[in-house]
Amino acid sequence: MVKKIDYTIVLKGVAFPLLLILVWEITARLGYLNALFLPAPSKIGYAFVQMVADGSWAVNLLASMKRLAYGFLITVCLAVPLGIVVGRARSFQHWISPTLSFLQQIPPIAWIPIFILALGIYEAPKIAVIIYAAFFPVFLNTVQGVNSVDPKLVEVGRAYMLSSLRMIQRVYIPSAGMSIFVGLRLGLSNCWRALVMAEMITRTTGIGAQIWEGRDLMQPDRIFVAVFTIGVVGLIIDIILKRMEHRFMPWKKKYPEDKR
Amino acid sequence: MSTNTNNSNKKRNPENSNKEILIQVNNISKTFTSNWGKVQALRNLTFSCHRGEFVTIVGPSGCGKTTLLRIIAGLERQTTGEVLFKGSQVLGPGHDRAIVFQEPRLFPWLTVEQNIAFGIRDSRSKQEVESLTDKSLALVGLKDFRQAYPHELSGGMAQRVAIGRALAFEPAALLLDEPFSSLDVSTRARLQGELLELWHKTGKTIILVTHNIAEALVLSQKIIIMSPAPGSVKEVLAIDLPYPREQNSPAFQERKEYIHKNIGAKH
Repeated sequence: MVKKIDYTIVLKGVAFPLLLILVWEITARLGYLNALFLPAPSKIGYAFVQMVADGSWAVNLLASMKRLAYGFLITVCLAVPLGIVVGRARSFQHWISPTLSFLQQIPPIAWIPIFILALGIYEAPKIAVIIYAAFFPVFLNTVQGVNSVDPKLVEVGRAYMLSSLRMIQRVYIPSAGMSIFVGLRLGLSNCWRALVMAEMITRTTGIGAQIWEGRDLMQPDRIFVAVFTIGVVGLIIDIILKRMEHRFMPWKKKYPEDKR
Repeated sequence: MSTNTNNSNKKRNPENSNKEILIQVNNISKTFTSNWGKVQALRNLTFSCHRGEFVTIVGPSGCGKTTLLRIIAGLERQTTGEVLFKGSQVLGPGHDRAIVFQEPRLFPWLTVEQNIAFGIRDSRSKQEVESLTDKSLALVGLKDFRQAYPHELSGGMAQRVAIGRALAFEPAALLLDEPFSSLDVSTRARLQGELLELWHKTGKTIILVTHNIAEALVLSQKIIIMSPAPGSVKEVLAIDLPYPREQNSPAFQERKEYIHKNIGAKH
């Protein structure tokens, strides 16, 4: 199911950042780097241990993850059904697609001030930003997935007298599954990035807020811990989703263009 | 013209005349509206098919035989005329008919057994689905491949799954639209044999569309010869040769040539 892991590739992938860190550490120790904004990796590591020990790391990460989960779940519940409905009603697409293309151009961060004015500075604006960030990739990929369902398979459903609800369940959703999944993956990584921005601007809790706090307190090592946490968490989320993709869609091997 | 040939054929076909008529096609015409205007695909087709009969519809490509089958399946509407199934009008797809398309049209995300259960999983009980699936798997000889996905199957196996899916639906009539046309010669011959065996075992009524005259002669009791532009019934021919049919026998060759000439006449 999951493809055999080629360890030499993994090794190369891990070796490169390790090498960078080593060079960084050496140059920092030799005093070539300004410790005010580029602290040595060992110092960052030490800060990380401290932040884990005092609990601030876990508290902020958890706060972010919770928002991410809520926001993303709400988006999925909105965007997937809506995408299926719109995907089946083609004439409706002519009505809305220019508007959607317009909205897509606006980055989520541009809406943050409006969301704050409308929803306050606590959870609501952050979740609103996440929903906005994830909605388009999930929705558009769902629409596209439904659009590209093989009409020949739909006809099989018709020949076997599926009700319209069963047709959606048995033909449309699985057919569009791959495209929907791509949308979910894009949406989730969009969510994660937008969330960090929202947290930096609203500055309450979360990884993004922690970055800003590090700036206010002149603690670059703490900023780096937060920044790296964002990267690592994003990476882990993506790996998990890719695994799920393989698990839920074992027939995907059929498509030769997918060579990951 | 077509009604004439049909009438004369009824006299020629006495052994089926006392059997129940399952499918009656009455004066069917079909006109498509395309960008260039109206195109008549079918004109005044009339024929019938008895319960348990194996009928093939033969004709050159473009004669509308697939359209005809799709109308019988209820996937398409005729412009005029009617199709009667057990005396009642066909208005759409039904539980009494199952179609096998030219391509297997399997669902790539379902295993072989799930594909076979596709038509029944929502309407039958779990036990029924299981036993019907098992039965179908056995009939099409794919018991060892029940867990396989379509992309792991050969073309012949995939088409067997499609036939199995139709059988599990438990229709009175199987409608096959050139099901073997994309297979290589030897696979095709094997599947023809299997289809005959399946027909003998299940007693289903089968209507098969093909452009292959030899295939029609190997398989069917009745051949409906169509002529193109617009598609109409040229002749209905009863084939009374015993099964299994010997393709090299003079009787087989004689009929093959006759149909060849007959189809080619209007070319």
